Amino acid sequence: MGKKKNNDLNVLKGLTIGPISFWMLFFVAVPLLYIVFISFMQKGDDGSIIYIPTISNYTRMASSLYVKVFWDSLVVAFVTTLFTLVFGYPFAYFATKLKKYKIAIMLLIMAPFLTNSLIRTYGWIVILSTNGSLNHLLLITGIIKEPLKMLYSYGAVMIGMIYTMFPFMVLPLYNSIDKLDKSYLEASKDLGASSLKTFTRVTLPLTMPGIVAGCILVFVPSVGLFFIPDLMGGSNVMLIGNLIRNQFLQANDWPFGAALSIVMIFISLILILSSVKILGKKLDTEVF
Amino acid sequence: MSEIILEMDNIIKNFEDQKVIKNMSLTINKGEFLTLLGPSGCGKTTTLRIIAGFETPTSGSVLLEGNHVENKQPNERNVNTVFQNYALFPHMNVFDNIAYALKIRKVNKAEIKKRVLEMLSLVQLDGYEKRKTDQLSGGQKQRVAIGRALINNPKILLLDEPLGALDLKLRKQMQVELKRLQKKLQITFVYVTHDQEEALNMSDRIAVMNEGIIEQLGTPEDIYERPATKFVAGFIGESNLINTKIKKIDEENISVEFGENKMNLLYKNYDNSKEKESYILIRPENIKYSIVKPQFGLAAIIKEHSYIGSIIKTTMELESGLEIIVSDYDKKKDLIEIGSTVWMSFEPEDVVIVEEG
Repeated sequence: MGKKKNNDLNVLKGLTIGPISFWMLFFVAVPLLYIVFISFMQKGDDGSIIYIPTISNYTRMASSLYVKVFWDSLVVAFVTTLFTLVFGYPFAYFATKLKKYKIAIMLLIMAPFLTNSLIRTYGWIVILSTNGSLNHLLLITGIIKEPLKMLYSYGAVMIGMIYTMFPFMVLPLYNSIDKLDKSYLEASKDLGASSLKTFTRVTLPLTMPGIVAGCILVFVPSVGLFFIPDLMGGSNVMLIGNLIRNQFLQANDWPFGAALSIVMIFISLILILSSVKILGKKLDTEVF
Repeated sequence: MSEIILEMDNIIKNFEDQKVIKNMSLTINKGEFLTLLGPSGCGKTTTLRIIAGFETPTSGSVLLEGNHVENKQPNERNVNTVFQNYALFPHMNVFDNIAYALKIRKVNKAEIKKRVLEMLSLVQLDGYEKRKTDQLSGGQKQRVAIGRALINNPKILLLDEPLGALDLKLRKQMQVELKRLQKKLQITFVYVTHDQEEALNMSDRIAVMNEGIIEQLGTPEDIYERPATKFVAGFIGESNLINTKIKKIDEENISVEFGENKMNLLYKNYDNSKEKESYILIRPENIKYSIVKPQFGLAAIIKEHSYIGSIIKTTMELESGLEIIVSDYDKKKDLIEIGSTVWMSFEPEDVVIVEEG
């Protein structure tokens, strides 16, 4: 009887985990290995891949042009993460205190997901462009005399990124703050700590898993996002995501595009792993 | 007369439209072990939270050593709490948990170390300072929680059902230890529990609470032997409450009527001269029964004998249909057969008059 039950459970395990493992293996792991493979190959003049090993795709990146693209991408991703965290933490913190309305507030945060993010980005273009609604409003109210050039700059890219990534920061933060046992906060106050000290010594360390999860969820896609820099940064902004896309779709240089992708993945991984490790050590707790 | 450490005057606490504490006054003496005892929802935890500062009373005042504290934050009063679920900080080890209050007050490191190690030894956890809280057993967590709350030398230590999560044997052991600790430190303990045995065992005084009021405040002996209300009588220990008519005879005597039977009792200063319906309480251990009719006795039919370790509990039914429980420590005696009619009797001095409450 017990054995049969165990077998049933194993079948269920196989049915749930099996297909997804299969999917991950053949549609993520294998293509990724292929990308690694072609990143060491050469490009033919007609855009084909010539299977002769080389490391020139990687050495090419040492040029200051590409280093700047990597650097700019990391800065944009870092600033996006920082801003979403700085705005997101207080937002999530007070949202959990709304009791009855907290579900409604979180639904509002999720509502934009119901529309395509590309369309939402076009929405920002309508607002920020030279003859857009924001300039129009500022001109009418007499705050400015000449329309401002807001679109096609790093500033516009940052606005678009922060706006798009905000929910990815708020959701894990909200979750970890909401499930924080209030008796820890009471214990802290009971033992003489002010509200501020309770926040820094108890709330913040205990919600650190949410902070780390939120930062990863924002940082990783931010490094590679290309449609926002494309639409809102135009030709003034070149980030790694755009560069990679251009290699694959315009320059037809797949080996170089592959090499750029691999380096981007490595940089993200190293940054994430080291920050998790440092945070974990500092707080004497396991983040995961 | 001992010194008063805490005074609660006419406390009312409402949560929205729910009245949790209905006009309660209580004074607590310095160095005493006072227990708030009552069923869940009686307001005992709310009372404790008002003393701790987690709740502000809707009206009324709380005086700690003569100073108003009802509007002070928990971190502004020298009162500490041992929480029901311990609430040990999971991101700190045992040492840091206990040191928390000292670190907040910026005590120097050497002093913190000295005091925390002393506290660990007081709660019998020497050598556990590096442990993580999730590596501790329930009893050990309990000790850390007590140590953490005591490190600041609080004026009052508040304990919210601290032993509720422990198994019976450990609970008994911790009861003894807590009482010993309290005697040794001479700190006022205010203890919340719904376990009447725990309350009787540990307290100097017990406040029995029900539906937001204190039904009776007294020593464990007062509460058990002379319950003031029907609720207290029913809540503490096993009790037989019999509906009777009581009549005052003179300053020292009353008569109690059970249907046809009448019993005269010595009962000083019975405060009602009118004949009225009331209850008398007789504890199961004070009732005797036999098949021979005594001078005074009530007829009853044996319903059930049950063996519960140290005693034999017998349930019998009076003619009125009321069930009476009798406990007998003499287990060698032959049991009277179920269904037989017996005569139950008790001594006048074991009868306690209880008001409706």
